[in-house]
Amino acid sequence: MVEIRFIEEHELADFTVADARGFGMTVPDDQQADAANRLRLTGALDQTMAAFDGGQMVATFSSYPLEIMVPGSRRIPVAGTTWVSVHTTHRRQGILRKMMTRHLQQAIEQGKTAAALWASQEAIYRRYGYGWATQFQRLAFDARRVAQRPELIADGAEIHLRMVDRDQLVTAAPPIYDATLGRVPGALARSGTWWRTGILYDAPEFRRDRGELRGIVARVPSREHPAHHRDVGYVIVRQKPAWDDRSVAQGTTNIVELAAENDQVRRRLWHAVTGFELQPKVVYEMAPIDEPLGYEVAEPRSITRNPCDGLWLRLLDVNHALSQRRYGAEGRILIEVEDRFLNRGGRFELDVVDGQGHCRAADSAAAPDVEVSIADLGSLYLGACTATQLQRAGGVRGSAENIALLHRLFATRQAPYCPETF
Amino acid sequence: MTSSTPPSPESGPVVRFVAPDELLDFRRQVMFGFGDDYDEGRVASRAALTEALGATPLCIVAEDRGRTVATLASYDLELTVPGGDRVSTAGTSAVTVHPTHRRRGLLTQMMAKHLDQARDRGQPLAALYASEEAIYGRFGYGPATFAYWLRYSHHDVTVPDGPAEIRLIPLQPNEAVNVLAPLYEQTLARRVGSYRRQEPWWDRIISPFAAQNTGSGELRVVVAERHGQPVGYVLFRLRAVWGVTRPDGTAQVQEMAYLDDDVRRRLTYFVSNIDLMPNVVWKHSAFDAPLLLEATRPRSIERIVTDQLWVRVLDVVAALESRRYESPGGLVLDVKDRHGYTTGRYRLEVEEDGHGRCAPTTDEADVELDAAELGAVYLGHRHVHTLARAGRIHGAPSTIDRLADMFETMHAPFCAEAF
Repeated sequence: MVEIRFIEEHELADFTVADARGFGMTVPDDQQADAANRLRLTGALDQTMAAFDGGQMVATFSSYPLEIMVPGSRRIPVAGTTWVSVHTTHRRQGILRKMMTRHLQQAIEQGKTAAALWASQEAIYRRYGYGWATQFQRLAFDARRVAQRPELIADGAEIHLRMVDRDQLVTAAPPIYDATLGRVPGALARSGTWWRTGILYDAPEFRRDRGELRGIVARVPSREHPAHHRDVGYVIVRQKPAWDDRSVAQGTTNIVELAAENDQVRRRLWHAVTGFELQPKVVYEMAPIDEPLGYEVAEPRSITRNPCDGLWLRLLDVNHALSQRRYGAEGRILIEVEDRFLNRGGRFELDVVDGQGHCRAADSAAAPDVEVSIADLGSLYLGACTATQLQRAGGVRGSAENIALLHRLFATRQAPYCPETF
Repeated sequence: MTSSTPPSPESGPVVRFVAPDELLDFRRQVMFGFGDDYDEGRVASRAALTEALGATPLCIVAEDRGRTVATLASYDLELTVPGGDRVSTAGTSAVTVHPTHRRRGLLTQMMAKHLDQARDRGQPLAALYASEEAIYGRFGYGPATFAYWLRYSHHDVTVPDGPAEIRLIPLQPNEAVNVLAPLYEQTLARRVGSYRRQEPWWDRIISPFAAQNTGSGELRVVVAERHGQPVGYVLFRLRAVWGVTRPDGTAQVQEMAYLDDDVRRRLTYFVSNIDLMPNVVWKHSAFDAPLLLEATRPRSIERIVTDQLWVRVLDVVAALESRRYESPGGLVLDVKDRHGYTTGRYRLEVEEDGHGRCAPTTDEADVELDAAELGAVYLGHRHVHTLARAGRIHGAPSTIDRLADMFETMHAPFCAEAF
């Protein structure tokens, strides 16, 4: 008989091992402590559950307390679904469904507007109401073949760049992030703990063969006090030198994250990061889907781009979610939301005045203008998918006129972007 | 030879229009320029197409001491623009300069002759497919439609089927044209970024020489019918490959047309589930293709972003008044054009119904952009903000927003066929 329950603190180390088994990974002993620490430090411990069979953990599940930016610069409270694994010996027994139900119920009780996750595989989570809500792309190119147009680099001479190590990033990066990347819809609010256990986590075992974390920070003279400087951007990288059989340098610079206050700063950081001696190969695993670099170089076809689904979003409180964001058009629309898994759907009236949404449960007698599943509403919410696209794929139903209104309301000028997995 | 006075041996290459009796040679030189093998059958087929389209007098060569050393062809296209109107467009094609004659300004001269002619003939636009992307920006062309090249294995990726009442019927290509042509007119020809297909284009499509360079197999046609009426088709090619232990063939989708999404699903399911052909390749799939939202495992679909049609605006007023806009508003565009065709300031006023009025103005500009960027945003692809962020369109953030709201379209523009 399998029992699902929240775990005790002393079971954390076992939990990380059980999770690694589910993912087919190995967790060295010293990393077990680190991984357990992350759960403890980020406040996820009392939301961490496991399935036990005869005293052995056979499935894992946890939740980070997160806040996610939505269009219009407000944040919503979100349960970050994570550490989800079921051992192969216990598949097809409904364990994931039970844990997911308990997780989402707990999130509702805690007043979370939504749950969010990164999917190990994309076919799993739709049935629980998650829809992909941001995209990213992997960019890879050879810097010897991809040069930025010189006039783009010429201006911005006042931007000063300096190389920093990981510990300097711990102090320099967070305020820049808060003013730049952290304001993009889809981005997470980051605490100091989140930085240290996430983006800037750099235990030697974790580096594998990618090199240690380092960065470049951009600063400009302050307008008020020219002697003072203000940080306006950073790029965090890992580097791996290599030479091929003919002694040609073939090292790789891996970009972990790039944040810039404006496009001039962004271009300067790109210029620096593609200019490392001995590191002609540049890989940016999780670049924004609307990264402009392709329009700044002479031969964008030389950049390999692999788009992928990013953050998945599962709305739990449709009223609150739709009332928090801003919209691209004015209008009123009656939305029928179908939620087969949790029953958080229903009929909602969204009224947009001066770009701000006001949403309330609607009189159920009225006929809806559009019908959408809770998962597809998650894909619409941050602007990753448009209503027109979803309609063609069978995800949204309604008259052409109402689909067009839904499209104009939800479409965003900036692609949503979550720069980190969790 | 048509030149009245033969150039003296000392003079450089002469750029001129092609005479009718030079068409075969023209086509041979194009093949040389592209590094293709000479194939007289293919040369004749291409020459016949050029002639049938009436394009011969529009073709341009550079001649050096009696030999053709550079080529440029031009087709009259009717390009569909946002709102559904057709705009007469000079389709720039077959642009080659022999390696012996590079860096002498021949392309610049040919392009000037070509674009002058298009302007004189009242064509508001020119358009092309770029062999290499670094060439045409300086002539005022900007990338205006994008597509995905897709590849997946049907062992990994499942796509939904359409209703069984839609029947699929294989046809021989040469007997299918009278079914395909009207369907193309009703569907793909109406897509923003695609062009109408005069009959000779169909000859090119079903020509046995069409697939010569690709090695992807002969053309096959399956037509979809509902209640006995044709409602869609797929043009595809099959290449059988026998792996050591299992078949490993490829079905390559060349073109798909459909009246609605049920037909699209039926045809997509069919072409993704052909026995012995686990690999499925789409040569070009629209940027907003629903397939990526419908497939079970979209990460297993290999995608390559490709630029398709590059647009060059020659007449700003005619071009901007031909298309419709997504939102009303006014905007003054300051267009830079080093070739002079479009240089100037233009006021665009868009009414509630999406129609635009455009006229030269001396008012202060809201947005500054090069002719190439005007071409890039003209068909409505959603990249106005990205171009602005890349320093290619200049204006205050609020006017860039207005430009995007007016010019960008809900559906991605898509060009059904390279030329």
